[in-house]
Amino acid sequence: MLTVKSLNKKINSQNILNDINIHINKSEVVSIIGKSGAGKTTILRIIDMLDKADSGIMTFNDKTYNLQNLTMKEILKIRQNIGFVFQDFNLFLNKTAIENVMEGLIVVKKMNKNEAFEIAKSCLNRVELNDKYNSYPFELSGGQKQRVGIARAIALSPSIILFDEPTSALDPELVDEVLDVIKNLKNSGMTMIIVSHELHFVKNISNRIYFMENGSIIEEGETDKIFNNPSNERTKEFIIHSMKNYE
Amino acid sequence: MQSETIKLIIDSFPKILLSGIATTIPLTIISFLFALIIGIIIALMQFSNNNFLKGIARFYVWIIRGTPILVQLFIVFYGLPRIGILIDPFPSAVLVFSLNEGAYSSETIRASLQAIPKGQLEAAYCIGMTFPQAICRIILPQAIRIAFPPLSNSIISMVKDTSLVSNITVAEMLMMTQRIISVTYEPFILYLEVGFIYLIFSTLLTFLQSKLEKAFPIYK
Ligand SMILES: Nc1ncnc2c1ncn2[C@@H]1O[C@H](COP(=O)(O)OP(=O)(O)OP(=O)(O)O)[C@@H](O)[C@H]1O
Ligand SMILES: [Mg+2]
Repeated sequence: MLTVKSLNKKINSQNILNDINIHINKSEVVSIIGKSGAGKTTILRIIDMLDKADSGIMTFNDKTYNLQNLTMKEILKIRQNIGFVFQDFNLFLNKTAIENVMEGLIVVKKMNKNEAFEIAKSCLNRVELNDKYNSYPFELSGGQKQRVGIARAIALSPSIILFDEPTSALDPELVDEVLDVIKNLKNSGMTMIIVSHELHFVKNISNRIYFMENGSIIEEGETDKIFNNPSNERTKEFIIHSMKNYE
Repeated sequence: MQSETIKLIIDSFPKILLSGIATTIPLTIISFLFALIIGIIIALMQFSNNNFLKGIARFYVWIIRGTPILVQLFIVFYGLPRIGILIDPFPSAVLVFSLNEGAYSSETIRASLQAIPKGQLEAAYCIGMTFPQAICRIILPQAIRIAFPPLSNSIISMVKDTSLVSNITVAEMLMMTQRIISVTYEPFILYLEVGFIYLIFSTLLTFLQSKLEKAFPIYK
């Protein structure tokens, strides 16, 4: 459903990503893990065209794109079919929860207000924010904000959603409400790429895992294998170390 | 107070006020609206990633901010006719005030645009919006709210600065006052009086500003 091949990126002549290859099938949940600065965010940003790659090929919904030169039209089309959930939410500050969710439906999908309102309502209900339609972002807790962020992403019925550390900015007691929402999305068959430091959650939700270090994918495999029997020493170290931190 | 003084005030007050309502206020409002449009366009040019547009915008702001508005008025009104461009006094005043205030307000608007977190634009992109859509729906509404208080201050300054256009024969309040002085020889009273009328205008605008500020939705 989505494949990235031979992706490379430099910033200031420093290699940020080296020959990255990633693929994900429909309804699969794939996680990217690795130390801070490994390049996880950059991969997601390149997939959603927020950053430009130096080279690479992306196949998405049966269309192949050269990541070096994309037209604006292609970029818009790709973005419309990808949901992105940010670490720090990035809700539209001048809009209420329901307006945040309606915005893309009205502006991008050209729906009328009533139609958009109904869909937005059902999306907010899905993330259990039935009572917060008219709250502005500043009136919401971190967990609630992130759930609006997820509702905003699913409203456009994307083919895939990318999560960039969706719980890292949250107080510990608010993490579970967001993770529960993501689990529900998995159960409904949503295709997702997740970057997270919550390794217990990653272990629990992922079908497959990519482990990254210094801009390269060092190991990839089924979740069980990566967690219980990684072939690379550094993967093993990272997993043992990270799981310990969360005990 | 002597009865003559009172009579002078009663006679002159409506004349000066009327010239304010007929000239000073329209000049301010029309120029400010143009200035806002110019300011937004110039600010967006500077906000864009296009170096050519940025260059033009910077050049414009550099020229306007680096020269006195009185000189700009003289160039347009007394200078341009020399090369065959004749513009009436009032339109000349509107032109200069729009361009002048446009440069200053563009800086205010640009600073407000830059104050909007980068994530707002990226979030807009992520739901498939184009740059113009993101600007109109997400970025500008937030920027205008930030820019509103400083822009209100500049419209209040502008009301007062319009007194300069008496120099290019526009019959605004100061010119009207000077005409009355030239026949009554009462500069002290009349200048106090016109100052008082400016004060009324500024006070009304300040009041309006605080009302409008409250009309913005509160979203922190
Ligand atoms: N704009 C930039 N300028 C310079 N270096 C950058 C820039 N953006 C990212 N980098 C570098 O790229 C590398 C990868 O960054 P990235 O944010 O993708 O890492 P990450 O794996 O998401 O890390 P984290 O877990 O901390 O979020 C880092 O070394 C970072 O310093
Ligand atoms: Mg990151």
